[in-house]
Amino acid sequence: MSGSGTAVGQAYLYGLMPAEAKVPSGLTGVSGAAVEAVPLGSLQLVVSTVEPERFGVAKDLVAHSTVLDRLIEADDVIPMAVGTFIPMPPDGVAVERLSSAYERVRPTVAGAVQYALTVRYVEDVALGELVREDREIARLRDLTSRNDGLRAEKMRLGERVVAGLERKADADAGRVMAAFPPVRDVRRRKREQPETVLEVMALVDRDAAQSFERGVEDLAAQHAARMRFRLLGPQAPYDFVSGG
Amino acid sequence: MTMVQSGSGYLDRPKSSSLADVVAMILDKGLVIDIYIRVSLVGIELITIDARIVIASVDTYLRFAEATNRLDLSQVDGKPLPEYLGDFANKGAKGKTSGALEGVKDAFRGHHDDDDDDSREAQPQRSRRSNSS
Repeated sequence: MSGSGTAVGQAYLYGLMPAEAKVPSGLTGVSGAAVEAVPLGSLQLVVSTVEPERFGVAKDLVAHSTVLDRLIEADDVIPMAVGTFIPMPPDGVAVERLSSAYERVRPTVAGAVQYALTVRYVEDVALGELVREDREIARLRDLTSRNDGLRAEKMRLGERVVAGLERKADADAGRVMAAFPPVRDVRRRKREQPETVLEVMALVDRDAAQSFERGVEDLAAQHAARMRFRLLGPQAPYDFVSGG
Repeated sequence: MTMVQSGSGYLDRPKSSSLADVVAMILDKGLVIDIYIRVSLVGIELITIDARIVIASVDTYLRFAEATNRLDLSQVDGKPLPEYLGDFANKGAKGKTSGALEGVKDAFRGHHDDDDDDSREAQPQRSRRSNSS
């Protein structure tokens, strides 16, 4: 499919890169299509020639993120929202919209990469703490382990445990953030699972990336008895390009 | 998916995002140019619902009640809780799973088994659910 990028139609757009960036060659993108760079003034579009109708399966989501991982490895990239299709070749409206969005967002993320950190409790440890610290949890636990049924009591136990985990997570997340390595910017995500302590996206200068990783490793080691740290990245700055 | 263990060995460093990661962290992010989002993500909304089971739900409460019941405090730190020593003679809750819990488990299985092989370590509660059936 390479070389067909000039056919009139639609193209899947992964992201915007500076004109001088070297786009890695030989990448495979959504629907198994080749990934191509299309110059556009001071930027280049990174696209695949794909029919919109063929896009939208789970594999395409992973392909979107895999391509952007490779791009950010090579140079700065402003990642587009999943499912963005533009006219190809770009018409006047597309040139105008894409160029102005690029100029607006570029200063925020130039020279930076994103990391996504998830911190979770070692579940048995956190639950053990709650059983020790909260007599009502200990009582309900004892009652419901000795007797079958007791759905209402089980619900009360679960509700109290979940509330206890949230309280703990607030305190522990505060502790982790207080010792967080220096970054350009952070975004905290709302917790979606009770055992999650913290989900945070960090925008990190490229030349500070190594020391950031070491800082997170130190935090993970320090809290290893109670929490598990999982770090994704460097990835494209997904969380720092919105508002456009 | 290959895992890269960091120097200290305490930090999980997946080499790339799994489908679950993309759904949870990337799906609603990135630069939006409204006129060019033309695609409805068929089939993906379902996955999203699976991955984002809300905290305050009956299923969640029952799951954590079960997990707390199953807890072996002597395994956690070697110190049994004196006033509840009776617990250790009675682990009846193990292996019993409510019907409601089964539904949640199946929802997760749908996309976890094939794309997220290493999730067992990162998310112990999920693998435990699989063990209980």
